[in-house]
Amino acid sequence: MQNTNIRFLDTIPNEIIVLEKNSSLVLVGLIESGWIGQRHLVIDAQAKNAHCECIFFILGKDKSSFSARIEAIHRAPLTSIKARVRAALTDSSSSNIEGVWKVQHKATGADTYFSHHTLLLSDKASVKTAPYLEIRTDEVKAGHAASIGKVDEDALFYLLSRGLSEKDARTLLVEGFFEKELSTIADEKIVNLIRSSIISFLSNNKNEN
Amino acid sequence: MTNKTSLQIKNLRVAIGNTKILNGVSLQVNSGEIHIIMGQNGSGKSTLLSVLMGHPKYEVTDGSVTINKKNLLKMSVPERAQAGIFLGFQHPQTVSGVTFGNFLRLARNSVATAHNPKFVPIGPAPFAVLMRTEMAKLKLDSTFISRFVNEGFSGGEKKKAEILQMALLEPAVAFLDEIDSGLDIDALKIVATELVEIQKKQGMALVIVSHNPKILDFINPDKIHIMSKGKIVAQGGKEIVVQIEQGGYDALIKG
Amino acid sequence: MAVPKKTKKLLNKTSPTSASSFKTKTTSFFAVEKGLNEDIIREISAQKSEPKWMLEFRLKSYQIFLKKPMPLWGADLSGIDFDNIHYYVRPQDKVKRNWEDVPTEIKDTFEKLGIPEAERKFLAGSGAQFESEMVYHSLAENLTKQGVIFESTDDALKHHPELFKKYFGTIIPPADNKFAALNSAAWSGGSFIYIPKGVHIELPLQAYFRINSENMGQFERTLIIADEGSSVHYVEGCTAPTYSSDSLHSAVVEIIVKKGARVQYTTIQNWSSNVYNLVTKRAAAYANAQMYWLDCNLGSKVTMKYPSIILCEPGARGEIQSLAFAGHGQHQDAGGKVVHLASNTSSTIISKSISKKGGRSTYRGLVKVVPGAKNVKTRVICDALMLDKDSSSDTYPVMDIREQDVSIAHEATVAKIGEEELFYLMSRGLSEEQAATLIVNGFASPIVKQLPMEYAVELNRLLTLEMTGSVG
Repeated sequence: MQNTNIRFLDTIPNEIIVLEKNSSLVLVGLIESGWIGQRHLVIDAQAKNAHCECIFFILGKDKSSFSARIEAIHRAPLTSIKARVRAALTDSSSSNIEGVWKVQHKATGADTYFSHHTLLLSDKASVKTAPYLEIRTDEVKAGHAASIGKVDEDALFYLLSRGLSEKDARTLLVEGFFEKELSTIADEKIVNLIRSSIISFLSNNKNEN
Repeated sequence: MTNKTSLQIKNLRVAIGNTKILNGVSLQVNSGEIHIIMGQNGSGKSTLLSVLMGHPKYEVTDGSVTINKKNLLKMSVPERAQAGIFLGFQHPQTVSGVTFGNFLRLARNSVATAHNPKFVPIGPAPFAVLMRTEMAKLKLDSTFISRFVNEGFSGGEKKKAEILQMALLEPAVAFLDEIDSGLDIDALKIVATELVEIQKKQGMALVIVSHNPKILDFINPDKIHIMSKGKIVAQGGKEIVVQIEQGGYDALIKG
Repeated sequence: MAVPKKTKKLLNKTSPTSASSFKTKTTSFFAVEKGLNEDIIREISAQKSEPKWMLEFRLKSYQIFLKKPMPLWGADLSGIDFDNIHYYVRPQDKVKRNWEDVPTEIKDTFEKLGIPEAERKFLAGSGAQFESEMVYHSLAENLTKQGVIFESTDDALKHHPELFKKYFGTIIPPADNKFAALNSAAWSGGSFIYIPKGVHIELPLQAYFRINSENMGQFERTLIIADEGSSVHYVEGCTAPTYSSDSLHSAVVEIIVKKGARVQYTTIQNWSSNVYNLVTKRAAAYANAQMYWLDCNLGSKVTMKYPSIILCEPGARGEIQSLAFAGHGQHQDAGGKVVHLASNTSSTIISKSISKKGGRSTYRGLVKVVPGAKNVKTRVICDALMLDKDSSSDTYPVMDIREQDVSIAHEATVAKIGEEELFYLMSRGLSEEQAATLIVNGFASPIVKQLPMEYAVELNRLLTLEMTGSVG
């Protein structure tokens, strides 16, 4: 029996979330303002058949700083914790995300994943990413991915060659960067809210990048 | 719709860093004409097309390019598209997260607005209708409208998608880079036939870059140009191709 | 010159024959007492007839070693007893140049280990370390003619003092970390290689190391300088017998790859299971230079080793490929670091690790791009294979990016052998152990196939040996 719960966040909280047996939790974060210090979020899959999916969108501008340690702990069999973080950073914003993913010896059948993809939209934005994995059983499906870069020049040229203005082309590409994750969220209202935040974030972006 | 257009390339020289790639290319292309540029790998064919579209990695060291007497080389990439230049890429870029329908509609509106500031941008629904009609002609499934640009497309589907864009953007001069590569004989027939149809209807100038003489089975060019070492070394009609088939490219290149 | 002293033979019972469980009786001429202190350092330096600056360097480094705390991260090093180690043993008085002159018992050791003695085949020259001293060095004539220097580090200090002093300690200063400081104080042996401008060495240069006394510390120090436009491939392969108490191996390798040059440094490490192997390896690559670390870790009780590359000037390129196998009681803590200080640089890190029977395999990596280093491309791939439920796998990558014009991608996966693959192979008549062995070799093959052929063969053999009895 699964009850899927969607929780909408506007920040990465200092919190320990304990997942219950046979439960399914979705965390969607639209994070537009930074904070001082490092937040610590723990997702603890203590009970069998607990599932959690996190999708965080970070839109950083000015001098915002987003520093967090996200910990995912698998303690029981057949649990899954999958987190995907996508960030677009402009001006002098920065993010420092540590993803500590642990699968304990008795957490057989764990399905665990963490991804952190960042688009740097200005020359003073910066990012530090440290996706860690500590696996203590072989019955596991575990992985992580991270990427950092700016708007793809070849993709940009392609769009420009079709007559789009530089501004429109860049907007399309940055929207496209988030789109893949957005399309996995079931709640229409949340999706639209995030989409419009992305659009206004981009139209306020003073950088050419 | 295109008015009469003339593109003039005069003595174009292009380099990347210290490497010279184009060594004085001259070519004139007018509305309604079909040109084919052939040549071996490394002759500069693709570079010529990239330079005309304004790819930033190339440096024009000499020569001029004008479209209806306006200096093309001074225009930004989107300005060139708006001026009527289209490039069908040899390896079309994948743009993940951006749907094909959305992208094309924006492009079409952008170009049309540049020509006529009073143009009313087309909405997604009417544009989808437009797209489906053109897609059917190319035997491209209509689900492509909501797929991400070129993502997961086969080689043949990518080429068809380029032609589709050409049909919808209605350029004045369309350059197609190796449009026949990756297509089996049936797909080639569909694409080539459609190309000729579009050209008849819209009246653009078509410049096809190829190194495969098979394309001539379906297209009748007004002129064929042979490129070698960054220059056009021979020009003529279909008889040139016969010479290549018999004696290879060397037969044509005299010094 | 001090009168050579006889030492008591430090032997343990040999266990049934396996590559690393026998020992050679050797007569060590000069074995320093256990533990390290200033007097011992002075004796070592005097024995080697070193210039004053080197003695001062050693003493200063020793002070740094004493002050620095043990690292708080990484593997469990609590088993190291610094006072219970011999820091220097020299088996004979001088370095040999020809194979014929090498003492028989030492030759026997190499033969038992299956190390080919022939120079004619792959090798252009070969240096072998035994008991902290370069016993044998031979340099093919044409290398010397080209101005190539390939000597023991001790000899190079004597024969090429300016060249030596110019580069020694510049890439890894003593204060870099506690074990670099220890090495800087007690170093002995290792290879010194200088390749002049434009010279390309086609055949790999090799050296062998052995720890053969109980409680033997190995502190070899290698320095490689590839001048502009040159290229060289250096292969370091080592094995050691099994002991009842622990051995410490703390080497330092510094490499300078000048403009347009290329250096490949290949290591196959197979220390016996009581050795603590703590190595600091770093290269500096200049304009359009290429540095390639190929690092295979199969043995030791604990290995901590992160070959690093500093890409100092535009056009430099770095590649690190790391293979680690952690069996019962082993912890392989390996990985790589790349720092991009200049534009138009690129790097690749590929790590493949295997853990079985409770072994622990750790990847630790760093990619750093400083502001202003534009057009940087990096790709990091870490794959871990776990062979049973008692094993462990960790991945600790860090990407610290302060520049926008970059393209950095990182992926990691952890899994066990696929049931489908096992089933398929077994359905063709292979036993489960055979099937698993095939798959493990296949998993490691992208890295193994980069090794010179004889090493690839030895490595496949070693992996197969590791796999026996590992299934079920």
